[in-house]
Amino acid sequence: MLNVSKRYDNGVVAVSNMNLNIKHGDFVFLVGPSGAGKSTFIKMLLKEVNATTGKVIVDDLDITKLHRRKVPELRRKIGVVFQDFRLLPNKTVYENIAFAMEITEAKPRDIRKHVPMVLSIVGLADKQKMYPSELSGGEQQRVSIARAIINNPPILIADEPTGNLDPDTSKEIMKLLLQINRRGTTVLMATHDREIVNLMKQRVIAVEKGRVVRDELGGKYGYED
Amino acid sequence: MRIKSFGYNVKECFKNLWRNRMMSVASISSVAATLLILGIIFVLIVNISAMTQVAKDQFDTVQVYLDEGLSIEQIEDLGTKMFKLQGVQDVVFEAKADALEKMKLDWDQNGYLLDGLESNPLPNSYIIILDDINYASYIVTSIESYDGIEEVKYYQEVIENIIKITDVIRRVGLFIMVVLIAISTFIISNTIKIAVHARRREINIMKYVGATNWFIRGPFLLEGIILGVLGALIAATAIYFAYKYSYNAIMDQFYMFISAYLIRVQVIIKDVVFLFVIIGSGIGALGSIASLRKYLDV
Repeated sequence: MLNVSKRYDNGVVAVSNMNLNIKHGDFVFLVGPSGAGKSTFIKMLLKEVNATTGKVIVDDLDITKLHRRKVPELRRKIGVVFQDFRLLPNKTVYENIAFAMEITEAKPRDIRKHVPMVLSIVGLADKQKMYPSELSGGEQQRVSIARAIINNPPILIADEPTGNLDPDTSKEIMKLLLQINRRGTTVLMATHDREIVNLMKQRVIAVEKGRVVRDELGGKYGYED
Repeated sequence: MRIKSFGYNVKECFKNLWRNRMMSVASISSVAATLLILGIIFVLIVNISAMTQVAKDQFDTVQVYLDEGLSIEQIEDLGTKMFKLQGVQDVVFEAKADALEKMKLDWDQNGYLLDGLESNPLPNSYIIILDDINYASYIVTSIESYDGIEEVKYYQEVIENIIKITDVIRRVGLFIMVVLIAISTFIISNTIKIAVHARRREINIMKYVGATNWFIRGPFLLEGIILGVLGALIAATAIYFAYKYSYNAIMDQFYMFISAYLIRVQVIIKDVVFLFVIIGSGIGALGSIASLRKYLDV
């Protein structure tokens, strides 16, 4: 699904000669200290920044050659969850999720059908009329996950989704991500959370100074600092 | 843009206009002010052009006085030569006897004074009717070089001045128009920028979930166009009443003397509304696209 080999620099080399292959349906942790290049890696997948050299292939498509106008199409294939949730404060839970569908110019009837469905997947069926500020952090993150998967993307990228949550809530979120992964969605999660990585026993890709230093299945976080 | 997202656009845009109503009012006023000045210039130019057209029609003849003692053949010869010149529409011969008769008529009740003349002092002449006034000086110099011409009389200075003045007014007007349009575009783009800034989070999220640039632009574009068109309509209304008032005032003051050359209100207002709506919405659209550029680059 993804075959990466790229160097990226603008004075700073954030990612250098990284080679990765993530298969369809994988659940992958991307770990590493701050500034290791995790975020740059994610940004390259979303074509927020371009690789200086090399190729980034998503869904059999070389996105380094993708035309600017085709970027929205790419982003609809990739759901994104952020550490800070990025929900719209003046919209209800329902509206926040429906918004992601409105953008794809979906039929109102489909929106009315899909939003409650996704809300029940993330377990917030009874909170659809509430505003983000009325929800706990964990609930807000569930909303943002619901928004990320509403359009059924084949790939879900989570950039430190548990960064702002307590351990118990984090585990809940991880359960949800795993559940989404089981439905066939590729999940790529960047994280600092050692406990969670060790608990999940999934493929772990460790990045340091823009290079892949370790890539193992059922791995541990693995920094003995 | 598809119809489905159109509903979304309209909704969003009116919400924004209301949320920033102070700035909206400011933008509308700025467009209205710009277009008002622009409209005044436009009305002036159109009217002056119409007047110069009339004036040109009045001054489009050249009178050529011939020497005494030319034979009929020579006179006819000159006539055909003149007729062949470029820009000449018609050549009319005026015999000296006819000229005297005409003068008598012009002098009216003093015409009897001319009866005392022993011989007719007026020369034979040709009246040349010009096809195109711009050929006037070429025709005059050509004719002056012929033999048997006493004098060529034509309203050269008047015509040249008219041409010069219209030219200057057109250029200055155009320059002012361009400057004013640029200023209005800038003000509208600032208003939209406030709306964009307030919603930058939303725009950022929209980009991440895969909204196209035109989808994001939609509501802002509509907002800008609405501001522009509202300003245009206000300015057009003001121009309508102002023009109607001055038109009537001039009519009362000068009767048919000048007012015959003025363009009627109904005729001019159609052009004004058409022009204003196009320029207004253009200013609005341009302003909103300019203000969004920075935020769409994610």
